[in-house]
Amino acid sequence: MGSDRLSNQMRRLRLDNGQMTQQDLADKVGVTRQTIIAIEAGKYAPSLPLAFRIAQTFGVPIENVFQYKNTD
Amino acid sequence: MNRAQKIALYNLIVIVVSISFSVGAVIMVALSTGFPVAFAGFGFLGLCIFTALAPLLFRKEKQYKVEHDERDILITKNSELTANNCSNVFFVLVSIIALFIFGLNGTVSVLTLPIMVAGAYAISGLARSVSVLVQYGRGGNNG
Repeated sequence: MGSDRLSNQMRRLRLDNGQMTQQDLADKVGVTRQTIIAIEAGKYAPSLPLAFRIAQTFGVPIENVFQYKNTD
Repeated sequence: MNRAQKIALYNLIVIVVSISFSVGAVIMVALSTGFPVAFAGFGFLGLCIFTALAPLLFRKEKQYKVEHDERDILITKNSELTANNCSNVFFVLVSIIALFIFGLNGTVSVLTLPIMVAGAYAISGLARSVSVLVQYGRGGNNG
């Protein structure tokens, strides 16, 4: 479910946005806190709609939240 | 642990206990009385019925806005696929083993059929529970 090539800046963005908790972010984007934990740990790759909702919550482009490493 | 993990762990314990009692009973009766009387020990697989209590024992957690999201749906789907595949493999293995034990012209007791079904249910439940726990366990530190 995770991806080795996908990294994210969610934790930093959360803390930069008024020390938002994982539960607060989960409530805003409509998922469970466990899912936010798994995404931040790189254990779960979110769906595209969820990734966009997370980016919109932080008010930044999606590329600022998630980075994909192309090793080819 | 969320509700799905608690239910999976409960089901895992119930099924393991059920299988242990069954195998133990079959062995003990087989040593004292022999087959086919020993097959009655598989009746302990009926303890798996207690897995039906899981939704009643572990109520929905109303404190959270979202209880079941896309990740939970994905984990449920993967675990159901695993359970289905394991039960299919179980049926195939039992059929092939029966062929080798009883031979081409052999016969099996009618009791074999419900035992096979109960065994497949236990195996699929076991696989589903383990799959759920492993997939949630990969998610890092769970709340």
